[in-house]
Amino acid sequence: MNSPEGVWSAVAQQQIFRATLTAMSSPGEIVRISADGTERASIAVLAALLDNSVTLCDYNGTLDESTRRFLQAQPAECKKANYVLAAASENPAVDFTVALGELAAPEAGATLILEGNRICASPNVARSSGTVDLCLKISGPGVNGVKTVELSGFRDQWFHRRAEWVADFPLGVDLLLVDAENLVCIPRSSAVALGESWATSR
Amino acid sequence: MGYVAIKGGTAAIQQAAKLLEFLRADGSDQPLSAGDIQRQLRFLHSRVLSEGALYHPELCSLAIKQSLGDTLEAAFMLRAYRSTRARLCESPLHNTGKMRLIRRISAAFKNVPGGQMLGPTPDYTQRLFRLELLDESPESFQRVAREWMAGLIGVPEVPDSFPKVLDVLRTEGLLPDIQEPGVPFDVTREPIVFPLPRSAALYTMSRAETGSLLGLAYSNMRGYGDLHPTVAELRVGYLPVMLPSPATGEMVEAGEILMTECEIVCMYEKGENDTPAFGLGYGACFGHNETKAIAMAVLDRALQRGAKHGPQNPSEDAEFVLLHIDGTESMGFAAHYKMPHYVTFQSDLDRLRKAQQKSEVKA
Amino acid sequence: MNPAPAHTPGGYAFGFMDEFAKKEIRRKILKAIAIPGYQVPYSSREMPMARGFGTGGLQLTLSLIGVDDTLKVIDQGSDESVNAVNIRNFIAHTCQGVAFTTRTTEATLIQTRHRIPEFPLQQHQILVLQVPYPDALVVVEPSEAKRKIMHGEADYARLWVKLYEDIVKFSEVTISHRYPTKIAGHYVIDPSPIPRYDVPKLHQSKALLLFGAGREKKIYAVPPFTDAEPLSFTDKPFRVESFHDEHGQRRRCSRCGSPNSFLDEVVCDDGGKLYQCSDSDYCNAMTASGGSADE
Repeated sequence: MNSPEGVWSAVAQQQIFRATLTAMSSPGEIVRISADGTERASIAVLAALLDNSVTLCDYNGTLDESTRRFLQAQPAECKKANYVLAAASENPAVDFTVALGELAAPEAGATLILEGNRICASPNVARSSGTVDLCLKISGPGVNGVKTVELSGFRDQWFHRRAEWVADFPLGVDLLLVDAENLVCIPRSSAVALGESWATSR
Repeated sequence: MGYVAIKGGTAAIQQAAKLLEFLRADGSDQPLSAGDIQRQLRFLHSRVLSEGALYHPELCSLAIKQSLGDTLEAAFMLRAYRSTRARLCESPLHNTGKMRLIRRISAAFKNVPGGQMLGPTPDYTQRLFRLELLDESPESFQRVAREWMAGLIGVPEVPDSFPKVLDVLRTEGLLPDIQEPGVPFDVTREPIVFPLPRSAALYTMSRAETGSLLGLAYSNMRGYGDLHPTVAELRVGYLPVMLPSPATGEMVEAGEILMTECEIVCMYEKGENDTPAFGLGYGACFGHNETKAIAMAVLDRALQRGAKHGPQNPSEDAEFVLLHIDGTESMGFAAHYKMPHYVTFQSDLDRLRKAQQKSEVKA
Repeated sequence: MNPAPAHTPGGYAFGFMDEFAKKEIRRKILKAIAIPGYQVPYSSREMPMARGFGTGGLQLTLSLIGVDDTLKVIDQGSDESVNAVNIRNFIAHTCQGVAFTTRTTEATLIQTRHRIPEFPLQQHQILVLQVPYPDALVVVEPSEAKRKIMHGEADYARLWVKLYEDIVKFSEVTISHRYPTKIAGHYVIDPSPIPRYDVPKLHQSKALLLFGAGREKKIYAVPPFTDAEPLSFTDKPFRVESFHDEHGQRRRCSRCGSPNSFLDEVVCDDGGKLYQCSDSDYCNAMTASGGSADE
């Protein structure tokens, strides 16, 4: 039997985890998730973290059948799942909710992976080509001062909803923003302000 | 005097291990064999098998040998090994009615279907020394088994299995209804958060250190509790373990395990629909360990009581019982006090000296 | 698919623990960072070292570590203390390819018992602390179920009362190590048996601090750049250990001469006392750069 390759190997998963750890402990810092480059960052992170003891909601059905099987996670609806994968290019549906945990078990709050087009540090190249949709200013634990991140292909409603979800700390949800290669984490402990955005063709 | 370096930690550890090994070997001609430990130290072996939470009789013997008979260390070794084993599959629910019994008694009835089968037990022997065993020769030792086996010829066979005593009580409607088994809670895989389901409590107790379990159960028996238990049935025997065949998926007997099971019946309580029924307590463990199974059954009942009415005694308090009976954890923590603590002690010294200075100033 | 572990000689997978165990810990570490100071429960595997000897810290290290890492292991501040030696040997045996160092500044990962290194930690370093008692509230409430609710509500009234009673009886808070410290304005943690001297290092640290309790089965974290305030009253400010002699002079290490480190008090054979740095790496570095005893 062949050894698992790419993001399914133990060595790659340890490296992906460490990159995710860096991102979570330094919200707003962009890390590159590159295992063998053939899987997108969202799948790399899910492969590193998930197994058959957690649940996953593939909200937009972007994972193929074999990936779902390899991840081994049990499927669950978005309001109950431990991990939710959603496309950031559309605003969340009105009835879209995620698990926020309980006072005695806040860790039951979900991890929401939002997939968009591009994540850049600020200032960045994309600005000049006018494709930045949103600018996030992040502060709080893990951040020295304020960190700015520019996003393209991430609708703003996600961050308004996030603000509601994390209003009652320690309850809340922890966000992983990904594009094809990069990851930025926004734990529930972060304060996020939406900054100036360059309106492009929406 | 100059700098006191912390040196030689590695060398000290290595020498300590060598010294222990010397103590193990010094003065004897013959090393213990794994078989000797399993058979001649049967109850010690059973105890470690159960506390190690891994049914591997040969490694259990090795653990006892390697730890020079320290049951806590031996159980710990089995646990550490278990930690490295991959989880292959889950077995289906097993019915202990299928046990191939070597011992089966009931205190609840004089006559039970199938009869009381005492089996191998010291219960009714006199605890007097047989001093001739100090000088036991290999010849007289070998004669024991040979003569017993020869004495079996012509003795009528005993059935492998017997009906369960509880079924008798059940048909009379004296027991609560059997509930749907849920998904068992695996305490080695999921974090323990109270209140725990009963399966988590039972598993924790099944691998608990016998003495800790016994002490807490005894407190309940003596009066820090109100159970009035009767042993409905105590069974010791071999349970066939059914696992799905990797080829066909059909259940096949993969082997059998020696285990002990105790079911107790306690003073009646109001049932769900207001009819009183007996309360049940259940104890089961690997190996032949009756004290543990009885203690476990008593505590199972006590914890159920505590969950329903609020704990009135320590043995009814799930957090108190379940967090303090694991030998590997309690032994480890007791042992950790032997590790260097001089930085924290330095901190304590500072506090006390400050406090003394202040009280001197006041005085 | 289960990732096939890289095998070490002796048949153990890299990092000793199976991938399921590591993944559970990795998931819990991320949640711990997202909820600073909150004790995340985990199932906690048995290790070949006894509980109480750092199995929690060890499980964290084994779940974090890769061949790119350089690991330092200390106990009481020293790389040569028996507990540190034991743990380091185990990791060397089960994590082939990992580099080791005694230098704080060279380590990417540091596992420690009872001390935080003297050299300030840098960004992207990770400190793993071994924890016997994860819960600061255990001193006022033995029931874990009740403590969880108190933590969730940030209700530390009974802890404050205990500190106040100390002051009434002894004019000072008597807690020496394990000083209760509030993280990011909500959860109060037990920072493990580090001396008071080390508590200020938690505040706005550049490095990530992870806390592992193996026997108690909890993981918690203080992220970098996070507020960590030891509980104190405005008229009784938090004070670290005093290393001043009877003349009010701050003692120096008898070997390197530093007046800026936590000192171990050593009783000599002739009954006299010696003071030297608890942190062996720091002392070595100070000595090498020309410090010396002033006696």
